[in-house]
Amino acid sequence: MQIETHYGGIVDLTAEQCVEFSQGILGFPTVLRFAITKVDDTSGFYEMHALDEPHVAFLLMRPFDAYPMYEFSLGEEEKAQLEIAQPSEVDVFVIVTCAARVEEFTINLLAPIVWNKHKRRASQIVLHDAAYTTKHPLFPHLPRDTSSLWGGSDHVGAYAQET
Amino acid sequence: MLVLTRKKLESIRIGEDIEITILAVDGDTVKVGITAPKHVAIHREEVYRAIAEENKTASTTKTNRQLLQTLFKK
Repeated sequence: MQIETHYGGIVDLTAEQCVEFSQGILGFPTVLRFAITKVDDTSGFYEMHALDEPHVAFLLMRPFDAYPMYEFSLGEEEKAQLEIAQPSEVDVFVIVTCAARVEEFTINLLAPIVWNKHKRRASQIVLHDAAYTTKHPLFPHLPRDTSSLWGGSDHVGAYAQET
Repeated sequence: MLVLTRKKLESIRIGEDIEITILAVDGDTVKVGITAPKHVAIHREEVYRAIAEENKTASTTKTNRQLLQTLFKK
């Protein structure tokens, strides 16, 4: 199966890249089948693209790349829903919300995407008792009100586009 | 909207398999216990809204691939 991704162009999907949500991402209850593809081989960003809705796509990354101390526990019911038998099956991503400037990119640490790679199932888990929010800066140590290390905010802004 | 009055430790049953019990009342704070099947997702309303809104925003914002490639380069 082929899909047209935003970041990677047309991609030939393998079965391993396809994933089914038992409950939709919050706000998208009927969108259940996605493909998770790498944006490229080095950056650590992934695109999660709906298989049945060509306009629904999310930018993902591993939370630990930005917040090495990030942690949460999966409940027994969530483990059962995702058919998780051992920790090695699990990959954790968070959704990135892009903005005009890199300093304003945020990630949703309150509701990570937990992916069982072997069973090809995933779920957006809500951390009911955690101190995390839906909007943590992707670069927590970057001043949010000055020109950035990335060649100035105007430069970065020129890259951003909203659809 | 159906409005019911309940006392502490009294319950409400919704359908066959959802039970909501008032566990404690302290001023304007009510502690509620919910028993429901595993496939029923339960969220605090404001948390559900915040996540759904963030998901919608995230799905409509995109950036440039070249920019992403520079972000975590060591």
